[in-house]
Amino acid sequence: MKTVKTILLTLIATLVIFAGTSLAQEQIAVPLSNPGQPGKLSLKLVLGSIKVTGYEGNEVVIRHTDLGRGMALMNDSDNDEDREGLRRISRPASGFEVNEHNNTVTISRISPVRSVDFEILVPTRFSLTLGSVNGDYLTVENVHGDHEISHVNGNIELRDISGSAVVNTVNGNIIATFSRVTPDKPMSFGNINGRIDVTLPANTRFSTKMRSEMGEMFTDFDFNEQESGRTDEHTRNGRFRVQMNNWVIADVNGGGPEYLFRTLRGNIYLRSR
Amino acid sequence: MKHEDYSELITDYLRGTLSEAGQQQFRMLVEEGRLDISEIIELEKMYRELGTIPVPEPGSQMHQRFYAMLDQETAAMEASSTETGKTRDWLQPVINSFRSPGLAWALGMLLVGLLAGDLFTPFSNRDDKIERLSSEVYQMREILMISLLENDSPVERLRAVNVSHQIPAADTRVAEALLNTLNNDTNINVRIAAVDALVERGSSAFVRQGLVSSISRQESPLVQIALADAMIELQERSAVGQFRLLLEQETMDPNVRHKLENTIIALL
Repeated sequence: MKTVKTILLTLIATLVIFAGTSLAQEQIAVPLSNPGQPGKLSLKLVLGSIKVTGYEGNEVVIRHTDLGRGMALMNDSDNDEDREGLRRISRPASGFEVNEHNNTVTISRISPVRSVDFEILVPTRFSLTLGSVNGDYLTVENVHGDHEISHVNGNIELRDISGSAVVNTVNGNIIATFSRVTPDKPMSFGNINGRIDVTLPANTRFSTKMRSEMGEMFTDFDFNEQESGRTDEHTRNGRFRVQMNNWVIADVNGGGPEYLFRTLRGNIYLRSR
Repeated sequence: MKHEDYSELITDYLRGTLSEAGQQQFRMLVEEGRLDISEIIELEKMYRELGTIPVPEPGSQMHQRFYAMLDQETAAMEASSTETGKTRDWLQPVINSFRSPGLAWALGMLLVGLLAGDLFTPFSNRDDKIERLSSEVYQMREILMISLLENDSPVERLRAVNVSHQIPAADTRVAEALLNTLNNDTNINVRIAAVDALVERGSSAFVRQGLVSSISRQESPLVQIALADAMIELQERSAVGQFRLLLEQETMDPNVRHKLENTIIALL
């Protein structure tokens, strides 16, 4: 009972601190040079989470929430007494810059020590370049384009996206559902710890190259395995070499561009829909 | 004297169908010397000889031969109406010629001669052409690959790395481009793909050395692990020192550390 109380107290305290640093969400609407045409969004963060959603509009709408000094917040051991008689003049918002040029929107100059969460609305046909080092989430929903998504410590979730994606994280799950894929474009999904769970349209033509070193792999696609991880070769000096490796290489629906799935410790799930 | 003028008269005489008026006219002509009697006798003799030449009866053999020929002809016509028939028609004389042992022998010797000749003085012209064409294809792929590697989109750069699988391993420019990608590409997925593409070129000392010296430059554990796998695949022991350097980092993920430590053990 006592532990519950302490947890509750800490929670309230944290909330108060966060409220104090202002959780006010601010919004910036960025008009595009060529409205109605496909565009690009680039955002790379050190601290913070990102959520990008496609919508039926012609502007990029950026909402950002400053969560304070990120990691530094935890080192703040000063008491209120230390601040007695003073008023706060530090600005809660971390500064950053938004540029638009030929439908390419770039968010840059974000402080690497302040934690900022971004919630962005983009027109449905947008290619995304998103990256974060430490975030709670990195989510994309309903955007069509060529996406480059990377995280280091955190999950990546791509819901109902279409086009193609190149995705990596170190510690976190990669969960992606595609409503449509662009034919002939390769894709790649890689992480160290965490599962890779990708859902593709059942008729997608692709060739897989998959490896989970310590985990397992599952699929409901019809796999036409090419070599079952075995390569035989007769070397020049008359020796015969058989190499067994743990790659699963297969053609699906007749084969196509290479989709690479690679994890060290997670399981890989490849689903059809 | 023109016998032609009386040819009808003479033939009638020879057949013995001369009318009375004709007989009178004939006798008169002979008497007058307008028809040479000796010639008439000669003609008579020849006519009789002609009559003695036997006319062969159309026997059963002829019947058979006729139908055999007819069958052959219709078969040939049917065959020539189809594509295969045409080639068979065309091939027939060639095949037939081989039935003659002399010609087959001659052709055989010619072939042996050509092959032997090719051994000593190859048909360099033709080979050159093929070589030039394929090298042009490789060059095109190389240009495509190197220009795709400059592309902003990591998807296109991934495609570029995949194109490199279709360029022969001896190509150093491709190896250089891939090593450059491995060390400088902003996208980790592209770097990982470059590692796999470089392993395929691992027979080159330049590539192996490039891979080894890249190890300590990589910050992403994904690339570090891909390189660890590559070194095991290539059995590159000189990589051990580089991995030891990496392991000096204190912030390393324990799973990655475990993997790299095991890689060192496997290589030693």
